[in-house]
Amino acid sequence: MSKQPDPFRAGIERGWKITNGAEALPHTVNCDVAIVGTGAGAGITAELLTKAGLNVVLLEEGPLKTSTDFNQKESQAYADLYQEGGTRATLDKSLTILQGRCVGGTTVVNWTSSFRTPDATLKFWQEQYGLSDFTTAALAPWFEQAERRLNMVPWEVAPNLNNEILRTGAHKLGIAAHVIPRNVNACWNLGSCGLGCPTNAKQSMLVTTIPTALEAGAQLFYLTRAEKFEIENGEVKSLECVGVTANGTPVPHKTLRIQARHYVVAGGAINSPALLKRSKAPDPHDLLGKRTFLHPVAFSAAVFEQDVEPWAGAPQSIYVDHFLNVDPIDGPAGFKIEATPLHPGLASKLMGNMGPTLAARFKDYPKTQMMLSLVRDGFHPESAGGTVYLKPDGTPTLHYPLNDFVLDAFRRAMVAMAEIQFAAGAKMVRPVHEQAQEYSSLTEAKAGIAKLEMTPQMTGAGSAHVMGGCTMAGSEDKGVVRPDGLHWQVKNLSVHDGSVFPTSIGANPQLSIYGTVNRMATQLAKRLSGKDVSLA
Amino acid sequence: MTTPTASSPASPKRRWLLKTALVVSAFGAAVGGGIFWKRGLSEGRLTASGQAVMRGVCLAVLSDILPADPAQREARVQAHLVRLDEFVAAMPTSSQQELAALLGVLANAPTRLMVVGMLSSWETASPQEIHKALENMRLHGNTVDMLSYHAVRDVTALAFFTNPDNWSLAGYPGPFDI
Repeated sequence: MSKQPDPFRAGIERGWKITNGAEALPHTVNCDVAIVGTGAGAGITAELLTKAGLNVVLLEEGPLKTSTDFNQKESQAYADLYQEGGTRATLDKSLTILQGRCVGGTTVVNWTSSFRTPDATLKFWQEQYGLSDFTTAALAPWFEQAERRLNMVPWEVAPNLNNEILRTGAHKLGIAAHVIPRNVNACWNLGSCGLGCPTNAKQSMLVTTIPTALEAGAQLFYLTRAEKFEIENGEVKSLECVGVTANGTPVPHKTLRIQARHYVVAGGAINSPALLKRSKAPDPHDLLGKRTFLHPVAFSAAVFEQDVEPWAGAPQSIYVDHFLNVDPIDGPAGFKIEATPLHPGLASKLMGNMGPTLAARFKDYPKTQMMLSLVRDGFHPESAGGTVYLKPDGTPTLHYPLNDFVLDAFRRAMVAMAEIQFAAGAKMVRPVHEQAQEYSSLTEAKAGIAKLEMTPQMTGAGSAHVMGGCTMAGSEDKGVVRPDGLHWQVKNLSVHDGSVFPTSIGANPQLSIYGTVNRMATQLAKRLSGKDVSLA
Repeated sequence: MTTPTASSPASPKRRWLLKTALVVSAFGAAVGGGIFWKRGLSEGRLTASGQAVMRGVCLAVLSDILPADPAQREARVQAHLVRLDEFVAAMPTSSQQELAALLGVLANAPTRLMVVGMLSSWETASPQEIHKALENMRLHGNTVDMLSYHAVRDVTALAFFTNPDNWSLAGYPGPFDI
């Protein structure tokens, strides 16, 4: 348990309006705007709408945990802060998905990497999705405000060795490597970002926008699932909610009906389209839940002579974009390379194998460096992403085929990562793949990787970036929502989260969500209140 | 740009249908429960037969990580089985049902033989025998075999290595005390 000051708990003691839905719920609540979710999109929206004087209700399915609760233990973090207790995966289980589920959403557990939406991605959106106002210049002030509000600046401290190896190897190969901007303030460099920041250094929604909204009078209901909208004649009439236990089981007789002027869905990709599907929201062009993207991630482990301690220090501080620019954006998939922090649980997953082999790999754990390549998906006809379905109990599942197009990028990424790791002095490199051997030279690695059967289950794959499923577009035949986030067919419903992206971003998406939603929510605040507000 | 190959025999769509058929036929039978008498989970906790499966998997997956001393080894295994209940409790009901179905498949002799290829029961099989069977599922199995291997292997590894009591066995010094 962290012994550091906890401003959120201090706010609760000051009388913030917060309700545990598993314990008690009022029958009905009326408000100006109901926001589903408390993550990146929801937080920005809540701050701006409350600044405009609107009466806001926030709904969070996950628990409320604050810095005092964050004990830097994976056992507690995965159970308390992640979707499905840390076990969310695609339907065929070939790809694991790390996604937040708590007050503050994924911003509580992300690794703080902060990138603006790349120009190439925005150009694709302009050309293919009619998003003419999504230019680099038009979005710049919205990103700039978010960066200022959340203190996003390039990491000034020396990278940990897990990241420095990426920079060293890239430079030796003549490849550019850059420092990652992070949303932190007085960071202790602990390396526990993925487990909830125990010092409140990370400028997540939990310590920034949500407290601001609560201080301005917003109401927060946690352990409260938005079950479905009642939609009539192109208008939401109400939102039905239910109290849930920590693992998401509905609590009998704990229900809440919310009536609002406007409703904002910001539960994150997978969850937002699922809510709209449960609500039978109009979907005349069969787009809802489709084109869900993941930045599928390939991994490569390397063992060095010296201790790397891959659990210590800022998780991500160096990146390489070289391999995003080798081919055209709509050609073979490019990939972004970053480091992967390794606490023991995540290490056990990525080290793979079992018995004596697993033991030998753990013997090298302190000397292990783990690299990742996130594949830019959604820009090619063979990269249509996944589809969100509802299970019989109404909860979502994502079918994302790990197809040959993606796996071709994985093979190229494995070679690229091995080359960088060897250039940095690795004694041994092993791609995360069931058939992979321990390669002691680049020549050996290239030959070995060429022989790997690149198939789902056999190939290690993960994701921490879920995007799409409620595509925004300039015309209704291509999008679930308009460029300003308003639903094309339902007049008092908006979507404000990463599910609106028409493709993946090609970079860690948190700042893309903040910047996009900053503009959407500022416009919404003006429409509902007549007031001009600003994030920073 | 190349053209999508949605209708080709090797297309992802076709493979998905094949996989779905396999998974549904194996796990659906277990969920139905008519021919299976051993269930893996009950009210979100491992049953005795579920524990037998996970104990066997633990001994094979964690073999050389567990202490060599028999008493210490057994204590770790017992603690792991307790930790597994805690781990499973954090999973949503639908995921618990999937795991329960899988453990049912693995616990009952006919489907154990089909998926794991192991004649011996989990209680009587040696760790080496279980390791050999899991290794076969890992590298040479069909989709259901591989999926089953990953499910029990990952639940075992994640529950074990996220447990602070096992950090010393992993070589992790633990976080800074703040």
